[in-house]
Amino acid sequence: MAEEKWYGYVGAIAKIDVGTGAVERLDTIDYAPEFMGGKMLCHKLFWDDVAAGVGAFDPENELIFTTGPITGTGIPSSGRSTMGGISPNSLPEMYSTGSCGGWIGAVLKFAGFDGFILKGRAAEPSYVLIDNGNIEILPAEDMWGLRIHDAQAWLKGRHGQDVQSLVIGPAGENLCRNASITTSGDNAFAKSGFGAVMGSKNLKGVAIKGDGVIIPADVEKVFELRQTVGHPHKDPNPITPREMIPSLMGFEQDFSGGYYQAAQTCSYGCTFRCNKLEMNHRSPFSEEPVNQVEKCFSNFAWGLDYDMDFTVAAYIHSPLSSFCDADALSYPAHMGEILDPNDPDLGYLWSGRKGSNVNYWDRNFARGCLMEHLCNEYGVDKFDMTCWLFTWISACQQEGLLDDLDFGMEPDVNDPAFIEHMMHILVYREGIGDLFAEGMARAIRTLGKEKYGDTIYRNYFNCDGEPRETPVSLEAGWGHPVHWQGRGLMGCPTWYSKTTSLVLTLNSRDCIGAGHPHPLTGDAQRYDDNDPAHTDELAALAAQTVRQSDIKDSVGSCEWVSPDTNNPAMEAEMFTAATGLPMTAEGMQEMARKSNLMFRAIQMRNFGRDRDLEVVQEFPIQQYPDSYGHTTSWEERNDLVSALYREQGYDVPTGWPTRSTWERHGLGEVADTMETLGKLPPEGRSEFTPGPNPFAHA
Amino acid sequence: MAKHIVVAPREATLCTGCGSCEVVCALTHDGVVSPSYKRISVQLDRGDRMLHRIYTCQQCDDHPCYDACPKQGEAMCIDENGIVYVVSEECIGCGLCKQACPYEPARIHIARRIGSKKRVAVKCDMCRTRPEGPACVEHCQAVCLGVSGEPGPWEAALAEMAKAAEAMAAAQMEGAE
Ligand code: SF4
Ligand code: SF4
Repeated sequence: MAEEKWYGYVGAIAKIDVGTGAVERLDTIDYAPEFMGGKMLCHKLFWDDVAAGVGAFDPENELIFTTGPITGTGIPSSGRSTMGGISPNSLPEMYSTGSCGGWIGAVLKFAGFDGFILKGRAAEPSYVLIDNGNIEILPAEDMWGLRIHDAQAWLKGRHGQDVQSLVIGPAGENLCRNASITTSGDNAFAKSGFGAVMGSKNLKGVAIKGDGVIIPADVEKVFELRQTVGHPHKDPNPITPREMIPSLMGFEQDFSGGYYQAAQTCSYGCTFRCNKLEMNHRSPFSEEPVNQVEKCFSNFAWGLDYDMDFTVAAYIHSPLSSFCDADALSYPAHMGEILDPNDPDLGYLWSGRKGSNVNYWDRNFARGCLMEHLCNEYGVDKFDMTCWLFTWISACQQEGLLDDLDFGMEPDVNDPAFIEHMMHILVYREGIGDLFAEGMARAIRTLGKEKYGDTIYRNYFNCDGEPRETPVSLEAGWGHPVHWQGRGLMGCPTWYSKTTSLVLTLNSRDCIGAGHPHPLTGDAQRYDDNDPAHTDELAALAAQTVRQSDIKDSVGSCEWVSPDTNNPAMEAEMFTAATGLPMTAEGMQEMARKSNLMFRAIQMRNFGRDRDLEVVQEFPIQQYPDSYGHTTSWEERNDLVSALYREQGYDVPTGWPTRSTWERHGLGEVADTMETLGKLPPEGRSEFTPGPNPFAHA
Repeated sequence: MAKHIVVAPREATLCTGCGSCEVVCALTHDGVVSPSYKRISVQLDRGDRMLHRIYTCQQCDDHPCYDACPKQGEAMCIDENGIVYVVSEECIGCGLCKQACPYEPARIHIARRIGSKKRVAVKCDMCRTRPEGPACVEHCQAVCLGVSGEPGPWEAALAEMAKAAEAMAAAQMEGAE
């Protein structure tokens, strides 16, 4: 990076006080490349600025939006950006980050900024306009109350077609803890509930216009990466009539009436098309049929009588594993190009297991699309709604638990009118909806977790027709529902769900934010026998997954492209192509170790994270049988957490890094802070004996 | 009409809204990614339709942009194939060509020169000096873009795709056995 000319980065970060309108320009050079960008840069900015004791809805909470050095450079998958801040949807409230596609990261860089910080609270409903170097806070009375797509259109009407935006819908305005912030292509920061934080700042959105340049240092290498990263395929994207959900194992699910689908790309300049466009469905807000962009999860909204079946291929990183490619129907031609029929692992990769009969709701494409569409329009996290709220209502209804609760109409998840009604009362906080606007984890605790969370849902059967004990509430941890836990939804191999749970132990939200584990095929085959002797290996896999997540989210790449197990230096090559700075695969790993530690520093200083808090997350759900009938014992959970702490260089009894760990990664000052806080444990404690299992379900 | 970029019929293939055409266009010509230096524009559709539009120069036979240029033959030129192109070094950035463009939005825009306050006209030149031909056509992964008067890349690709799907199904069967 020459002094006068930035490569990859564009040079400034805007710190915007939406209460006073004051804008401070921070120089990117003071933060990068040391703190890389994206997620790691978020950690640094938050650590510097937000003191312990600040809550999600306090004006002192900051919404930090950052791009990576590769964002917008034309490198495949590089359109991504990150948002961080205190999440109101975490339980307890805690620092969290999310990653999102769209064009917004690139456009922010065209406007001359690598990131921005929103702090304070506006006196009136407002929005922020970033127009090249100029930043203004403008009144948003006319936009307040608009749903997502209307708000986006309002901004385009006011500021021109080239404007890109981040907006909230009514859910964010009404401080629903699961509210999203949405940008183009229905891309959203959803799970952390940052939409409610934006709403608490009286902000409807951020509109960005820019006509500047992003300069990659090595244009030739950018073009090379466009041809090589992730085996991009070049073929038509036809609108395809479908009558079934495709499946990797041949257990397709039929949909009477059928539907239309094509593929969409999530982020600017990417060579892939992982998202699907669901076409011609009904909207309660429009006379015309509408189209919407979805990822894999919409399959569950369409029909949840049967959970999906799975192949091992889906859990191993290789080009074979691109689930969303399959989902977006851009899979077949891609597969034909890269499948090697002589691959000795092919049989194992295609092995797997049939899904479970979960009996939550019938297959109905129109109703499923409506469910997702309402989330898109109101700006609410569809994972929380589909996976948790509506499965919970269905299970509770079947178990007779809802008789004392007044939903304002008969709760029936098969009835589109109920879906519409329920989403409306939640988003506008009417009647019992007010309770669910607090997020499912909080709502269930208010109602009484023993009855409304832990009651067994008896209409759940595994693939052999055996009843499979599953609770009515599909809670995993940190206030989030199951997501690759092997329970409830999304069956997976036992080694996989154990690793996912360990990954979440170090995180504050569900696994998309933390990354999917991607072992090598041979290793996965060994883990498959469910031998507890793999404890250390699974801990190492979880630690590697967390690092990998920080690499991709800090550089600005994407979960569906990164990592490439055939080329561990992929992100280093991307970084160098963008910035011109030398980087190696090991350098990236080192960056990620430091990024992990900064995340940990925030969680320890601001939110009191320690072993006691972490070991009990994701554990209760693991006591129920997974897809193979396996459960995790309290002792095993403790062993796995201890192994993970050892792997990370943390003191095992407390889960706090030791001074040597902080210092090894250049964070001596953090060690000093921890010492002042009484959170610097002695070196060398590598064992821990747990007390009795504190949970009722055994 | 001279050759120009055309967009595939939606029945054959749908634009995925990736913006790669914009990206590679600016990278090829100027080594940057920028709305100021792209010669092709993707207008993302409203969120509830997602049917995006692509805009680029139609290389009109009557070339009103060329006619309006006060430095005809120096700043705005026409090559032997009828392609109207801008010679940046000569362009004074007056914007008359943009005003003369009959299309809405105009297919020429006036950009700030990189590292300078001066302005320059930017328009599609069909990558006339690029041996591989138009970069946007080459890099559109959804084969949405083609060249007028030539068979669209989507036609051959549709046939290929059907063949590959069959091969994949066969390989999957073999693996499962
Ligand atoms: S033909 Fe070349 S100059 Fe014209 S839009 Fe395509 S990439 Fe740009
Ligand atoms: S490269 Fe193709 S698919 Fe992507 S935006 Fe341009 S025309 Fe659409």
